[in-house]
Amino acid sequence: MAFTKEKIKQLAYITRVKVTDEEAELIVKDFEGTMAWLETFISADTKGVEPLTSFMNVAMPFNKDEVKEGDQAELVVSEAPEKEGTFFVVPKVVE
Amino acid sequence: MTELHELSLKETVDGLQSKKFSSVEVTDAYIKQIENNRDLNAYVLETFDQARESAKAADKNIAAGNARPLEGVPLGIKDLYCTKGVRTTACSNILRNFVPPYESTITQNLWNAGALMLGKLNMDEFAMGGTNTTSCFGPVKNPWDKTRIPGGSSGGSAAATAMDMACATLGSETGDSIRTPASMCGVVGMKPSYGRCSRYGMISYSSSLDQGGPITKTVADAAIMLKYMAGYDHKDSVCADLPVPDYEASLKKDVKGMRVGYIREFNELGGVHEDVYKGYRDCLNAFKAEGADVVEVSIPHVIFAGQIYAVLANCEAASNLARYDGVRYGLRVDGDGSLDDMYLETRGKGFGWQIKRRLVIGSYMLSAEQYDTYFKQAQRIRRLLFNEFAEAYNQVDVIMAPITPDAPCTIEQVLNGADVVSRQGCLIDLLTMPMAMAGVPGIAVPAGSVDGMPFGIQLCAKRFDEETVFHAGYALEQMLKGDK
Amino acid sequence: MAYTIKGKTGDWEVVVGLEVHCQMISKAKLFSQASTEFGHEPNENVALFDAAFPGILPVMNEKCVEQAVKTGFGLNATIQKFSQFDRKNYFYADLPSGYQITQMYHPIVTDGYIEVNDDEGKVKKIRINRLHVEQDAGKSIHDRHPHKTYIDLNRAGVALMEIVSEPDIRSPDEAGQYLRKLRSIVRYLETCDGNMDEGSMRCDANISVRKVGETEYRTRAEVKNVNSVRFTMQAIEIEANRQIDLYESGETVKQETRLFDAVNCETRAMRSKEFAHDYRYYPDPDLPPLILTDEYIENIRKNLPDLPEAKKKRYIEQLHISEYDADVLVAEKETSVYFEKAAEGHDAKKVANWIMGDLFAYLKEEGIPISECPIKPENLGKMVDLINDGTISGKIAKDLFVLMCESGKDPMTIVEEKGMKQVTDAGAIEKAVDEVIAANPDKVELYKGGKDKLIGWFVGQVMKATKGKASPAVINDLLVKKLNG
Repeated sequence: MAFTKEKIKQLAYITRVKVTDEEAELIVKDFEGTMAWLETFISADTKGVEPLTSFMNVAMPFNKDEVKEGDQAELVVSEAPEKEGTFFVVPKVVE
Repeated sequence: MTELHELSLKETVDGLQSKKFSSVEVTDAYIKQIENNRDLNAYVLETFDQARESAKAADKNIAAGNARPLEGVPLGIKDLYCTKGVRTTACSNILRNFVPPYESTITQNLWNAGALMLGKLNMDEFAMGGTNTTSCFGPVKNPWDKTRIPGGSSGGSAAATAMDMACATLGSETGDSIRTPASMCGVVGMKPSYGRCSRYGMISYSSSLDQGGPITKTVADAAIMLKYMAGYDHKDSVCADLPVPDYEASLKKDVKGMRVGYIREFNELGGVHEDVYKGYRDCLNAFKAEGADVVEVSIPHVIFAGQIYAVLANCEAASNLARYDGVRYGLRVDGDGSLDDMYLETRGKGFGWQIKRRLVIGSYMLSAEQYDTYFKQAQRIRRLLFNEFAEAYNQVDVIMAPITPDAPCTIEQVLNGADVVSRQGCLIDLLTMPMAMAGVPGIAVPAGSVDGMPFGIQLCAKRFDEETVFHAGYALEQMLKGDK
Repeated sequence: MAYTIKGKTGDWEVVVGLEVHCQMISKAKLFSQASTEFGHEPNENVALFDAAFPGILPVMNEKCVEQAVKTGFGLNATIQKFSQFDRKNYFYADLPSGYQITQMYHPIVTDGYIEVNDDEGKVKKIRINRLHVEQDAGKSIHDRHPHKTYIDLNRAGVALMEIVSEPDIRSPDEAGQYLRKLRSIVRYLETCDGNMDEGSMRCDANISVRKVGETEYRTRAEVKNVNSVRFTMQAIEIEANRQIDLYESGETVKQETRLFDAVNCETRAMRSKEFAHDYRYYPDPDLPPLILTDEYIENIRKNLPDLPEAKKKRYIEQLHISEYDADVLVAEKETSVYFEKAAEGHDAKKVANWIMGDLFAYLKEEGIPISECPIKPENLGKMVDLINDGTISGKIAKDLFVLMCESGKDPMTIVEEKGMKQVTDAGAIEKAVDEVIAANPDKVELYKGGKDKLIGWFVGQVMKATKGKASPAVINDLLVKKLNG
């Protein structure tokens, strides 16, 4: 699979990270290297093996249906780069 | 005469509790040591005023007979842990000015035990890296040779511990981020089983692998630290609901009958310095001499561990780092006036190069068409590796292995992308990642030196058998002391 | 006659699948303990987790499992003992963590159905592919400022049930029935309040068309923003016609997301980037799998309330209520509860009529729900008894009803107080009949001459004379006897 600068920029957009042309070119090379390195890994025989999603075989712990959090709007927005009252404010979303 | 800042944590606790010296004195000693070694760049935030206040309060408690187990002990905390009211950045520009209004469970456990904080320690950005050269605050220097890396991602923690800039430090590991820097800086680093400690308040990198652990001057210190760090936390849904044993009780020298394994696939690896191999063999022989059974085990899938990590960690990171978007906290850089552009600019400028490449790779491998090829394949191979370790632990109690193959690279070599860096990196991956991918606990114990630089040996046991880890680690430490 | 649309090139069929998001009724959110209550100040109902602060982890609300399982039973579905949470990754201002916790690969409920009547009146199952649990997003407010958007995360993290049907719906009417029934079920189970206009129940429609007789599915478009049953039905018709027009002019239908514009009666394509739709689903490593025991599931099943279908059947079979009336009575749980209490031990059919007639009219005028009805259901039943056993006349009953509404007292008390008892004394009635006949010889002549309908007028006059208290039936009999005999 040949990775182009365009494909890298697309992937970067999906993850909302701006990459310069230069950076995109570096990532292309990086990608090619990584994918080559991963070839034996991809083709390793794992037929019939169950994926291991987590080490922890625990039962889902639950909270009771009680309101114990919230009521701290000022705190919630206290670190916001832009806020108005207790709203977060961002540049307008273009629908 | 041992200086106060040269004492181990255990000695410090004993000295404080028996009122041989005060917490204020100890804290001041560490503060001075930090001030004298700022060029190592181990600390990214010094909280000296707070530390002195806490030390005064600790001395009051001790005087009143209310001393808690770690009362007045000064610690350094990796800047990955959210500390309430104290800036926490994960050493990334995107969190450069973030002050969390909450405390992580592990650090809260330590404060509840009476410890106090000297400051936040340097690390690779978002814990992604093995060299501590990707921090937005600049690289950390290895105290043994300031041109060399201390290892990462807990480089600040290891350097601070090695240079007596804290009584003990808190690090974390996802792939090898405790064991590698501990090895490169000649200190003890312990990584508990995945799920032993709570991850609440730890900035997430790879949720299914991240785990907090202590980096200390001695094995006993690590056992003490873990005793207070570990435990069930309802706020972490995948945390183990298991009682925390008194790990200090595991610190025994006697290893008669202990079954010690060494991994066949690690024999004769090109690139491992003969001094390291000799040190490794010496350790195995020391155990044999003390009555342990030394047995070869085979874990064929170790060769894939680095790749499993590369896939899983990057995929999970891509998702975990999506929240850093300039909306609710952290850096915001406006673009052309649209929300999308604000995201792009903020994350483009806020994240370092390593992060960006991992986000792109991670997004690729999680995409619908690639999901099975990479992500699920990684989970399948991880299952095989996990099973192989479990099988090995039927034959042995503990597995011993090297950690770093040679003297650490120089910072310049890393920044220039020299070949030696990736060669060494591959070897380190091979030697360390398998244990992390299997979720087993392990400890790095300083074992010798190569080219004047320290290297450690690791001892890993099966999941939730931290007791054997401390037992074997302590025994090894004592054996090596005996030699000197 | 099956629903089809006549195009230029032949008859077309509409194929519709509905995705309905139901906000769960619970006090706290799905993975945090912030409140789900409506109407709070912005970001007041927000826990650190809901604002995606670094290092904060999810802990599940046990109530949300219960609600999903209950709803699964209401949909005649299979409860999955093993289900899992996955992350759906995308960027939007009201999605703080950059991913939604949902259930993609292993939903908690699968394979259910809702019954509707097709256009030929036959019962048909609309199959339900799945019900899964997921987080709701926050709210973006775009119209407060020309260049800025305001974000309120109060709704972020509230538990949703996403219910996805198979594309079994073949007409706007079937869609309407499906939605109304679904709404009724969740309201009965108290797992969702089903308010489409308030947004606690939201519908997206997947719509495609094909020529009658075709078996393959053609490309479908997704229509969002249909916030009422009526709009859903309209949107289906409008979109189907749009697609037919495209096909008939030789073009193709694009797979895309469209918005329904009720004002202009059209659907519009939403602008979005192609590759932005890869959600990169993977299991959420912060949550273990959800494993349910047989015991847990059985316990919920045992304690389920009666559902509308079951009640309707019972009303028809046991209480001899007509199907139409039964539908009306079960449409809202509160109505069915009221009806059952009122009908218990009384004339169910008559009680039903009173509820659907006078009672509904009263409630509508007062703008109150049946739960606030001043007449206790038992009292309505008792009132019907009084009519049936002749204590009061039907006409007087109307007045009694009003008095019961005003006072909330039981009927017998009011009847006594106001002396509303029906006059059944044959002698007294006969006297009144004789008086009316005597006073109106001209009308008597007309009646005898063939104007049978005048009997009604005579009855009316006697009713007036007896102040409405005489039984009209008795009056009628007497009049007929006297006028004819």
